[in-house]
Amino acid sequence: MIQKKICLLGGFSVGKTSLIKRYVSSIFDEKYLTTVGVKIDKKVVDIDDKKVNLLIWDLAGEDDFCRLQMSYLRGASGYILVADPTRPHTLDKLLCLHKRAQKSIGNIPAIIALNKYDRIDEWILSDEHQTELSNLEQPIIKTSAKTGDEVQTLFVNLAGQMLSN
Amino acid sequence: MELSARDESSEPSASSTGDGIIDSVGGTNTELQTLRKLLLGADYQALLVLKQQIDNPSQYSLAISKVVSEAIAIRAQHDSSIAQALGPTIEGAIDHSISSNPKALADSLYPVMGPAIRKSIFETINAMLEGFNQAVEQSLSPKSIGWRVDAWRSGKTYSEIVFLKTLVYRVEQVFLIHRDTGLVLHHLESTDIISKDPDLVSAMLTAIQDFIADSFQTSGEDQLSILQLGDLRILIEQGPSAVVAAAVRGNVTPDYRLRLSEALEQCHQYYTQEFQSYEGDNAVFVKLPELLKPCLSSLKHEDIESKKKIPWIALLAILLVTVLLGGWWYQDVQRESRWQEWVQALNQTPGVVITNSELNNGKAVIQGLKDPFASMPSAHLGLPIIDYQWSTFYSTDDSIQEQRVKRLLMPSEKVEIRLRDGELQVTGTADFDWYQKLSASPLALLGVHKISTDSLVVEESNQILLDRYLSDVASVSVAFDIGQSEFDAQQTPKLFYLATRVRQLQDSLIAERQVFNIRITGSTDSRGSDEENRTLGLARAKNVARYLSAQGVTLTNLVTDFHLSQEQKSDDQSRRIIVEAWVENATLDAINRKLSESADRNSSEEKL
Repeated sequence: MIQKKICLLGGFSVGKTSLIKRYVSSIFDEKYLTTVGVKIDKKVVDIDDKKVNLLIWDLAGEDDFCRLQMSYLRGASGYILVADPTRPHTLDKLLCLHKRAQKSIGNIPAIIALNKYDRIDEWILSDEHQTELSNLEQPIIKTSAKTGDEVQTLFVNLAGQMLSN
Repeated sequence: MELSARDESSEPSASSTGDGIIDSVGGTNTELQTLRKLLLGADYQALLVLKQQIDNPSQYSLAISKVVSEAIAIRAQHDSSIAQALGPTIEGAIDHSISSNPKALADSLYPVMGPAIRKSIFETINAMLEGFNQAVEQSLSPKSIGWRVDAWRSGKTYSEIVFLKTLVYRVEQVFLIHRDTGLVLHHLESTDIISKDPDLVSAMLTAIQDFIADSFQTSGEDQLSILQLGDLRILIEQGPSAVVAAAVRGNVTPDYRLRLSEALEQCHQYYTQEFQSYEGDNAVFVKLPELLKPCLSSLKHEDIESKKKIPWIALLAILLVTVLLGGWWYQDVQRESRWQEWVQALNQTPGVVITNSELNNGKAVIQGLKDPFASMPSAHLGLPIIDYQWSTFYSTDDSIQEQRVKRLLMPSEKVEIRLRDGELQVTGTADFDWYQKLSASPLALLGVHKISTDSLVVEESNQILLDRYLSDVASVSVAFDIGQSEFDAQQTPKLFYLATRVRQLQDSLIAERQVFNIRITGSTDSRGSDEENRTLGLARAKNVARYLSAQGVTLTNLVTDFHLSQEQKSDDQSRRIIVEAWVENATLDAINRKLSESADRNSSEEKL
């Protein structure tokens, strides 16, 4: 069995932990608990008849006060950038994190999750942001940890990218 | 001009021709060129090519590169000039390498540096142990005294014992973690351990290190080496590409760290390439279980105990102490038993009664009653000094009474006296005096109820014997019928007894040069005339004398006499002979007196 380390990056309270919880344990909890440092989960996925053991590093959300150390990304085979479009500045954060990640570990498979799809009517997604996101040339998946929409797809997609890389 | 200049500057030598040719290649002098072509022919072109190669740096380098290593090798065989020449360059190169990318050199040196550093650390720790040893040697506690004893008998330093005593551990899990990804490369666990997902644990261990590094100001080279919670420790050894982590309970020995390092180094030796290009596939690491297995070990107290040498010195010491204690105890028991024996012996001694005996801390006191005649038994060796407190008493014990009797009677050596149940048994040979003393002594006062002298021979003295014989002789009286001068046959035994006694006296006295005198007086009754009676009395005496002579009695000093009865005595008593006997020396006066008496009584003396 192949093991792969992946990381979830994103701004503060965008739903990284919820996405992982939904994916690994099929649970969603409205209660918000901030992640300090890092939290690690694992999940085995089947990709093209290959079993992949995903070690999912849930990195603490970055805000103005807490700057994410890129050392956590070391050795990762891929990462998921998560943003909460209901809070547009998390998109800026996403873009910023992507740049820093690339600088730190180079070009490795990445995927963008626009979370809280269940609250899509609250999304504030400017054209500018859309352009910048598409310029990243990474798959963009609209997910909802609450409903579980596309959460599976998100991880499987990334795993697929990593294997074919 | 060039040629002439060359000619001027160069020495006239064999090489001048060559130099001239080469120098003039670039020249414009076609005549010379032609001349050269003429002279060198086909070789000219080859020389040109050669020159070009030397002139062109890239071509020259290429040419030299083909022989440079061989050339260095050949030169190095001859002298060390290459090392000297390259020294500064290599130093510079290393300098440059370190300043530009320190990790590369560190990674290459890791397998070499590890053991060297460990060795150095080991030395340092040893030195530190010595210091520590001195420090802890000052402290005293029951435990430390016990350890000190262990140190003494095992020949180790005290600090080593302290370390050993506290080193008991058990390795529960071992993780080999890929350093970059935090993915587990291999995981080992001991049999009865409930372990959590090793993938998550190793990822988390990596994350923890990152977290610490992020959260606190640490230098880039600092690496996590231990995590501790209670008695659980996570020991971490960092390698360039992989990290080994061991979950250990208890106090781990320093050599376990070494074991971790060695295992990690071996993993790196086997899989350097694989670690660097790791893509999450563990299938290639077939050797890891074998390499990591030594890390999954335990050290139990029994292991330490079993490693102990047989403590001969301690055993000997214990043996010695046991022997000493045993000896002391034995001596004590012996002393006690000797004491008891002595008290018992004393108690059984006649004339001794013990009322109290004490033996306390070597002080011995005996109180009791003691007869002055009691004889103490001979003392044992090894008895303590005894304070005897006697009161005198008179014992009625036979053996004591016997001694009292002896003291009173003072028997000669030939006499043996024994007192048994109040009966005094006297045996042996005693003289008559002593015998008389025995009879006269107040022995009843000494508890003698009966005197047994059946086996006692009483020896009589000559004088006594003589006196007795004399009295025996004098006591003989031979009766006669009326008017008869011949004695009756019935009187013969008396006369025979008389003859025997007289003979004995004569025999014994001749030996003593004494003279035995005997007078036989014939006595008559009152009937008849005095004359008749005188004749008859004398005849009676003579008849007896004749009989005695016939019985072997010497008649010398034998006197016959007669006696006339004056009183009206019984006739029967008067008709008899009277025998008198005496020894001359002793009774000379008596003889004279008797003689004079006889003469006075008008008795006729007739010598036979």
